[in-house]
Amino acid sequence: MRRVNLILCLLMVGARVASAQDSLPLANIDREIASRLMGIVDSARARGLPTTPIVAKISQGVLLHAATDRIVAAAQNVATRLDDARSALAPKPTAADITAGGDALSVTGVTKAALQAVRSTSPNRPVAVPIAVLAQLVASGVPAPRATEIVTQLLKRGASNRQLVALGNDVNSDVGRGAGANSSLDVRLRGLTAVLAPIPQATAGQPADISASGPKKP
Amino acid sequence: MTDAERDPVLRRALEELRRVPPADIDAMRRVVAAAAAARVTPFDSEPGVLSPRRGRSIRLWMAVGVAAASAFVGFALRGVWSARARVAPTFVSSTVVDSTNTPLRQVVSAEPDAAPIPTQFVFNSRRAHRISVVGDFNSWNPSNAPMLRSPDGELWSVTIPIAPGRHMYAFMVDDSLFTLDPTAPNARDPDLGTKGSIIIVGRP
Repeated sequence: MRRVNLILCLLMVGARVASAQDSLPLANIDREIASRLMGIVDSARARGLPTTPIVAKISQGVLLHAATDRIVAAAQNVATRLDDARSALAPKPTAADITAGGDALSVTGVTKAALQAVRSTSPNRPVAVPIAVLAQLVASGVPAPRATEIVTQLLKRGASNRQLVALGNDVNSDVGRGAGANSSLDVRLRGLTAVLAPIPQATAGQPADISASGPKKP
Repeated sequence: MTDAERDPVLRRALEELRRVPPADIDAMRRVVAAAAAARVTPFDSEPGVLSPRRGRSIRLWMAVGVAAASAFVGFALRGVWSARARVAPTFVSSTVVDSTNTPLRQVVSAEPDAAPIPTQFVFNSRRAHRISVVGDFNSWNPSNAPMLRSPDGELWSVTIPIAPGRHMYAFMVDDSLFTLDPTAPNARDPDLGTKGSIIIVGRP
């Protein structure tokens, strides 16, 4: 019996040591604030959410010497967005999907409906990268409905993650150099759709209407 | 020639000393019996009759073994608890419909797409003494991704595995200067109000 107790104790210690890997940088934070932050992380973990984004947000706030109240609010916001992302990306989101969804929801204009649209296009595949590109396009100035439409259509046509990432980065670079987000997206889509498939139905003036053509046949 | 070889008295004394004394059979028996008693193992001892010293040794090894096992179980349970939503590394199939509405079966792996991808960061600075990459992918910890200086002293670089997705990061120069990547787009953090560089990581 004593041996069983010893094993149980060591098991608990082992689990505790292992869970300490998600340690928070709370050394210089007020005890009450630290307790609230740990409560947010523990609550998220108990709900099955990935806690890495919350820990990262807290660490970021600590590193940048943000006000503690602001750090607590930021951590709570991240947890809420992760919850929303998980429900939008149901039924089988990966931790990366939920993290990407939570980040996308932090971009003004991206909604749960947009995440659901991406999920319904790719119900059985990880969608972290398409969601990240969607967020990047919206952050660059592309209206959220159009960005959602473009990303979902590209997914239907079999665009690779690399092509999607390149599109998001190219549009962002163009906008950074002073171009309009919509016109940049038109130009960049023209190049991408040409690679994906010939577009017999599309005219030169309608590069964004990629839903009009099907995927490239082998 | 040594002194012992030259001096006959010394030579005799040495020979006396080198001579092996006759063996004491009783003494040898006692030594052998003592040695045999000292190397009793749990297998050749009577059940339940363990000396205190051996008992301590066994408990110590048991404790070490159980501690190692518990740590393993702890890590395994941690993985289960902290990533309950993670998809098991199974192969799943999705259906893509082309323009002729012919369903194309695409077999893809869920797990490799989520695996971290080695990503290189490069920063240009001749004056800096120490530079790190900090971002949401390494919990904004400067000690997690220190950059290495090139031989010419101008370029700093580090390659770290990052999960697919959109990430915010910056460079920490000399442990105090928070610097954005001049070659990457940047965005304002909606929660903390600070700016950061943005990178989208995706597997081809």
